[in-house]
Formats: sequence, C-alpha cells, structure tokens
Amino acid sequence: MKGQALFSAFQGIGDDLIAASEESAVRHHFVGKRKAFRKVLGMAAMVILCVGFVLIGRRFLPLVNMENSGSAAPPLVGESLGSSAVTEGETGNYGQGEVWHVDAQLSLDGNIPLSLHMEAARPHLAVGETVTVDFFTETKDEALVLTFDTVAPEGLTLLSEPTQTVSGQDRLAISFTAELEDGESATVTVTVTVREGDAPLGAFTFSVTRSGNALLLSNDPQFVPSD
Amino acid sequence: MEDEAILDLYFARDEAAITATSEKYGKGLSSLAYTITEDRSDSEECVSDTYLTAWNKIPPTRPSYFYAFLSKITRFLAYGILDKRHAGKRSGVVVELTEELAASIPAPDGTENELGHLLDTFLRTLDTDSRLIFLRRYYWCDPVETIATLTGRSPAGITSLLFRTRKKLRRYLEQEGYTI
Repeated sequence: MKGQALFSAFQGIGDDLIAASEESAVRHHFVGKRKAFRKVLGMAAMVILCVGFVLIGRRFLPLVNMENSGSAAPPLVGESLGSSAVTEGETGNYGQGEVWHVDAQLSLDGNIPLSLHMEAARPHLAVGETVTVDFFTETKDEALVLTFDTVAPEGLTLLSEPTQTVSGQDRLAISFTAELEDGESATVTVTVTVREGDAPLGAFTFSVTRSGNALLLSNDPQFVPSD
Repeated sequence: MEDEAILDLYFARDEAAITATSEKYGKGLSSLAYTITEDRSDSEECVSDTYLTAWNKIPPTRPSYFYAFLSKITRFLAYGILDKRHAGKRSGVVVELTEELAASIPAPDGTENELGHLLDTFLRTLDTDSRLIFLRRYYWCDPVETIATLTGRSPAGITSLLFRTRKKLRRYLEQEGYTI
C-alpha cells in the first residue's frame, strides 16, 4: 500500500513542525487568528460607520439647522450694540462650493433672544442660474413672527415672494437671477421686522458681482441692526 | 512539570522521569496510539514501549521538542504493530488516510528517509494554516470533523484544503523526480 510509505516518511519531518501542530498550539493559532480577524473586521466596520456618519452629516446638517430645536447657533464673535449683539460672517468673495453666511444675534424687548442666520451654499453659481439664499431663525418664542422684505435692485430679478414671514424656528429662502454685465455689482437688502407697524430689527445686505460667467456673492455680507 | 525538568530526570537516570512523562503526555500518546491501532491493549503496549524507548535514548539525546519526540516513537511503534497484522485487520483510520494519500506519494521503494526530508521541505513551503491542517490529518490522524472544530472552519473547507495540499504535494514530488 503506497500510503504506508508516506506514514514512514512522516518520521522525517522536523520536530519543530510536529510541535507546532500539537493540538493546543493549533487551537491557539486559529483562535488568535479569528480574534485578529474579528478585530480587523470591527475596525473596518467602525471606519465605514464613521465615514457614513460624516457623509450623512455633511448631507443633512443644513436640514438639522433648518429644523433647529434648540441647538447652539454657530460660534459668534460680535460687537455689542446696546441691547443687541451683532456678529457678521466671513467676508470676501466666495468661490464655487464654498458656504457663505452671516449670523446675527439679537435681544428683543423682554430679553427674548433671537438668532438669525443667512447662508448660501453654491456648488455651481453661474450667470443665468438661479441664486438662492437661505435664512434661518431661532428663538425661544415660538409665537414670534418675523417678516422678511426683499428689495432686489436693478440687474437682479427676484423669483421668490418679496415679502415672506416665518415663525419661531423656521427658514425661508429668497431666490433671484442676475442679469449683470461683467464686473457689475448689485446689492440685495432683506429687511427683518417683528410686527407690522413696528420698526425693523435690521437688514441683511449682500452684493452680487458678475465676474466672467461666474456670479460671486461678495463684499461683506452683513446684518445691520436698526437704531 | 516543565519538559526541561523531566529531561533532567532522564539524564539523572531517575525513574520518576517515566512517571512525569506519563502524567504529562500519557493521555495524548494513548489517544494517538489507539487512533492508529484501534486496539486498547495494543495502544497501551505502544505507550509503554514509547517510555522504554525514550528511557534508552535519553541520554545522550536531549530532544528540543519532547512531545514531538515521544509522538514519533509512538507512531513508529503503532505502525510496527500494524505491519505485523494482516492487511485486512488494519484500522479504519489508517485505511482511510492511506487511500487519501495514495494518489500523492510514490510507491514504497526504500527511499522513505529521503521522502521524509522532501516532505519536511514541502511542508515548510506551505502557509501555516495548510501546514497545521495537513499535519493534524496525516500525522496526528485527526478526523476531518475534529480539525474543523479545532480550526473553526467547515468540514467541507478542511476537505477541500487537504485535497489542494495533496495535489501540491504530488506536483512537488514529481518535480523532485518521483513517479507517482
């Protein structure tokens, strides 16, 4: 029987190999390997989860802000203006894909805090396309109704309603198209009022500049409180 | 007791060495001998003869891997017992293993020592998993199901891996000039 030859041949295998194949050593080897595999699998799952959370967060974070139920406003570094504190966002020209925003932190009569946030994320902003700017409000007074009046200067065509109202924690959007000449600018003013007949709280202003075929939301976007 | 301490007893010609060896490795050696012979009295005889052989070889031999050294003696003795038997009385495990290996090794021609060296070299070329599983099956004569439990793999996976390893062995031996 040929197999018998190999059984004899097994006597020629090194003792080190035999010792490594003892039952306890084999069990230890495979248990260690399974543990290592599970560890790698766990780490891979964690990485995938983290990446997933980051991607989901990037996709939905603006919506979370929009439906803000009390989360903190973006970091504010403001200048005190009597009973109001105003913080302006980053200024300058904003290129493709950048987020442009300005925050305003106000204190209404009766010390009701009000946070206003204006933002535009523009993956593709070109002449002829619709420009949309979002406004978010956040206040503890859910009954508070704010009116936003938009004035579009010559060179811009307002597509959204010129007057919009929001309450409590809500958002609105203004959209427009620009028919500017190359190098020309136009400044948009959005006035915010609490109640009809009251003096406005202040106004957001920002300008739109055409540069070649690109539109830039630019030049010091800000919220100027009323005196 | 550590292997080194047991070996010291052998070197001191202290018969407590046999007792210590039996206590530490008797069960494993009996199991190996019984797997091959499938006879309780034959396996007991094998194990007793293993202790005697070890007693005679140590000293001067001082094995680095004591259990491996003992297991080789036990296997050698167990196969010696099988050789004395009529082929029809060979154990089921040996018949099974022989059939599995028959297509991967050459006919016996008195060159088993050389074959042993080639087998040693071949096993060192394998990845660790394949080598351990091959040795569990063909050196320690473990059933496939036992290896599956030991390694956490499926029996079908073990069978498949063994099949591939035997094919590699056949190719290796043919390259070395053997005719299968």
